[in-house]
Amino acid sequence: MSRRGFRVSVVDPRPASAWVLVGVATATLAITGQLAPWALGAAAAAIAVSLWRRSAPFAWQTNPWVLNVFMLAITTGTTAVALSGEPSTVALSHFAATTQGLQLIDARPRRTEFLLVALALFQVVLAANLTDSVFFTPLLIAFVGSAVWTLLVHTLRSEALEAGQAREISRAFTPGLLRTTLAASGLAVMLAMVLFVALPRLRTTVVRGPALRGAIAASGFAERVELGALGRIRSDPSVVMRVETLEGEPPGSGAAYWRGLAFDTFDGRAWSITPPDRELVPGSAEGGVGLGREPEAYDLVQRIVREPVEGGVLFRIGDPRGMQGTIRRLERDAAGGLYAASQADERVRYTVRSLRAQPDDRALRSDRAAPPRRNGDRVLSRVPFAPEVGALAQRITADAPTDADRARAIERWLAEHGRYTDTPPDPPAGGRAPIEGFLLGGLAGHCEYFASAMVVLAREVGLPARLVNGFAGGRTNEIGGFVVLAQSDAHAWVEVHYERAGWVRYAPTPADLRARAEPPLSFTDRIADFASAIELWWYQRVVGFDRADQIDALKRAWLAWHGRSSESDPPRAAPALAWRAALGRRTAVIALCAAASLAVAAAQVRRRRRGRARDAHAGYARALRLLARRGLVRASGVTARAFAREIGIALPPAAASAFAELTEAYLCERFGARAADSAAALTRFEQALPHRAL
Amino acid sequence: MFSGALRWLRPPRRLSPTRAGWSFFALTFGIGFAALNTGNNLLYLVLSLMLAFLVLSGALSESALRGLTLRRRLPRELYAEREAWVGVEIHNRQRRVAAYALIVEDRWLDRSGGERATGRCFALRVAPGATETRSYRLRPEQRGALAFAGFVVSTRFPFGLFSKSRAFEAPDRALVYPAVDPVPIPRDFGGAREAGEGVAGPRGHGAEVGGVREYVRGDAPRRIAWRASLRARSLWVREVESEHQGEVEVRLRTAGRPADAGFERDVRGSASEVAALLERGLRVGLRTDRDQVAPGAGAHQRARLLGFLARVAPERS
Repeated sequence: MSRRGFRVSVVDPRPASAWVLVGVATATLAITGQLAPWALGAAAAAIAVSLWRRSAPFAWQTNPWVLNVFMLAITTGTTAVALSGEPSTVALSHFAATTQGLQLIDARPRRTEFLLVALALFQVVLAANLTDSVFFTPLLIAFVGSAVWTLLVHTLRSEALEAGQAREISRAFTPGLLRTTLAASGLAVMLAMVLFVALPRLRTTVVRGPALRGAIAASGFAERVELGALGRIRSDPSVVMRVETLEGEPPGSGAAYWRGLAFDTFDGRAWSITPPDRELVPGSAEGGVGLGREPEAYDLVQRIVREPVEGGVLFRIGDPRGMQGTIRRLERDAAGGLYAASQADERVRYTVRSLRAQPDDRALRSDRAAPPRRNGDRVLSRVPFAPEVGALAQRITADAPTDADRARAIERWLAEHGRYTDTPPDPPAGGRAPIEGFLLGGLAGHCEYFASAMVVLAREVGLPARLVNGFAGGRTNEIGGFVVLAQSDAHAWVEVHYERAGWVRYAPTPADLRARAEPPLSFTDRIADFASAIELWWYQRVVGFDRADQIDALKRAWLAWHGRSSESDPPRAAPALAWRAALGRRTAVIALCAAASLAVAAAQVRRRRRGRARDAHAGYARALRLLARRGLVRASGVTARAFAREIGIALPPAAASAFAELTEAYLCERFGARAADSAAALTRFEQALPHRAL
Repeated sequence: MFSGALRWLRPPRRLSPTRAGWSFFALTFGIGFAALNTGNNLLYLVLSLMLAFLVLSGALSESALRGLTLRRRLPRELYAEREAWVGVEIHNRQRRVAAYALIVEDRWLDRSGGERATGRCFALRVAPGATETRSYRLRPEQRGALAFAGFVVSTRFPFGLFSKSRAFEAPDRALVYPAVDPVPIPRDFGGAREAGEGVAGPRGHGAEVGGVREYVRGDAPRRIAWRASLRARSLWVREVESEHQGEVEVRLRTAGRPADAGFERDVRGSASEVAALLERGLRVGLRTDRDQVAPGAGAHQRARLLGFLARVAPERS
């Protein structure tokens, strides 16, 4: 039976769900912020007019000429958007939103609603390309519900019209159908969630298009940074990172330093990394890569969502030991800086395992500051400043017996004598370097000045030091339980290299008094925190969900199966006991599944049996089968009552009476449309029926 | 055995996409490609929903076809080239779920053994546990046995993306009588007739009640024996031998004839005469070159004679 398409056209007005569908589809495009006001207005007007004249459309709504004029206007508008330099996706969004409106305006008889649904779907797909908004999912769910109902209503109407039973249409739309549809839509959404998690994440990039994201939130993280660049971004409250601590103690405010790049070369005005070459970190960051010599030795695991950042720099606390995330190409520079270079203009999510433990001063006193073996001369190189700078360094460290004490003395001196300001005074006249002016002047500046000054002073006394930039502090979002780092949290500090301890952090910047005077959170701030928490959840669970998450989920499942909470967590019990415990768990799971299956099967059998016994149709059919086996067949054309009378002569009285009762129950159910219990009659009939041919 | 294996191998449901269904497939494929290409998770989300939409469509259409029981209600008499209504009872055994937009196609086996559709009927909604009766017009083209194979029930519910169909085996047989045309029988009819030439004259015995029997369709209401019917609580009719009643024998030449249109025309003529003579109240018999049907009257005799004529075939020798 070939029924490829509907042959009749439906004239009735569309169901209300069609307007919901179009409204939702337009809203998905509206939240992208890419639709021009005229397109939004046109779509809204079309929805309003078509809804207003739903039952009695204007004559022009069925006139193909008028509709074609509208179509021409839409095409012109879309072309204008495309010619104005907008990406093709944005131009197509304008086209889809306005054409959808025209579809609603068009009141001519229609054979299918598929075009309406397909256009709405097209809008949703375009919106998916243009936004990461948290509102996308609720709109998508509303889209599914309205599309389901719209298509369903149209299918039933078309089928009834095609069969010439237009009067029956109203019979079909019952509350039961609505309930079934809602339940089915809910199931579809749940199934979609499962599919969403399970579908393999491949990023083939067979076809490449222009990226829509343009703005890079944080600058000041290039390989060469002019002194003062970091200070400029400190006035910007834009969020750069959201950090969740997954394992280990969350760092306190004194240790919360997310390291970005380390600069070893300073020419008095700008910092740079030498050599600028980077190496590709082998392995797949999506599957997880080890960094450093002991990848399994870590005490902190953090998941970081980083907004677009200049250079694609990846930030982390302490010494990184391993990384996993949506990083296509992980690179490392000579100073250990990590980059997702091809994703500078993208939001990136990664999990980093690191060792943040820093040796204390007592341990460092027995150690010796020495440059690293590789490129060690660069962290000792001195800029030819005025002799007063060298003298100042000597004076500060005069009473310090060890390298560790000398470094600490410089740090303390700067922090105690300096004054923090985001607007340092202009560089001194006479060609002196800004840092020279800073050191010999009022010691007023921001973190970059203090860090640079400490590096200069440390190198003056022979300590191998470098400047590090990144973010420090941040604000904890109590609702989401994560730390939010804004551009204003950008920071610079110093690292000094020791022979055994490696690079050790020093923070010579005085406390920023603005931060201390921060007022308690207002209601608006709390709302903003809530929105930020939802946004992070949305991004982590949906937008940023990727192959790394899938691999991670499999890993976690595997570890959980073996009774371990993480890779670093050794099996808690002895091997034999673990095996026994695992067996016990497995047996319990298998036994539970088996018991559940048996219970379901038993319930099913019981339900069927009960249903069969109660079902008069089935009972009567069984009685007919039993009679047929004994040679009494009901001929076609003989009524049920006539058959009962006919065989009444041949049957024993008890069986005849039971069969008459069964017949009445069958007729009652068939014509009276009410259930009749025939189980007892069927039992009596079976008992009274002789086991021989009649 | 081979056909049994074939039947076993046949998928329980047949799914054929509609034009909208093919478009939906193409869209899903396109979005899947875009998701794979870009790695955009929102596209994955849309793709997941579209796939779930397909599953949902399959589940809902399955709920429409699941738990159905169909039964054919054939008319008592079927005549070649004459329309008759065949009833189809559609019973939904499900307790909670209604069946929607069902197209029931009845199928019969043609002479080559292939299945062909005899007719279709439509049920927009069959409530849970309810039975809906629909009918379709059947116009058999020729006399003889008609073997019904079963039903094919299809639905485009819920979204019109696919037409899912399920076959139900419901074998049944019906006998199609030859076409019957009105034949004028003269009031003072007498003499033998043979497919155009009458034989044997009426031999009446006057008006007498020859007993009672159960009412069958086609009996004149005036012949209902009300007293006997009340006693028996069903309709009974008097068998009356009227003044004009006599015995008539219709002859049909079958020997040495080819199975051609001429033979069929004669069979049709015989059937028409038999029907007309019985309608007149005569006792009618039938004789061919090999067989003979004893004379009789009433609806039973009519069924007997027309049934014989439905099956009669020419003899080569």
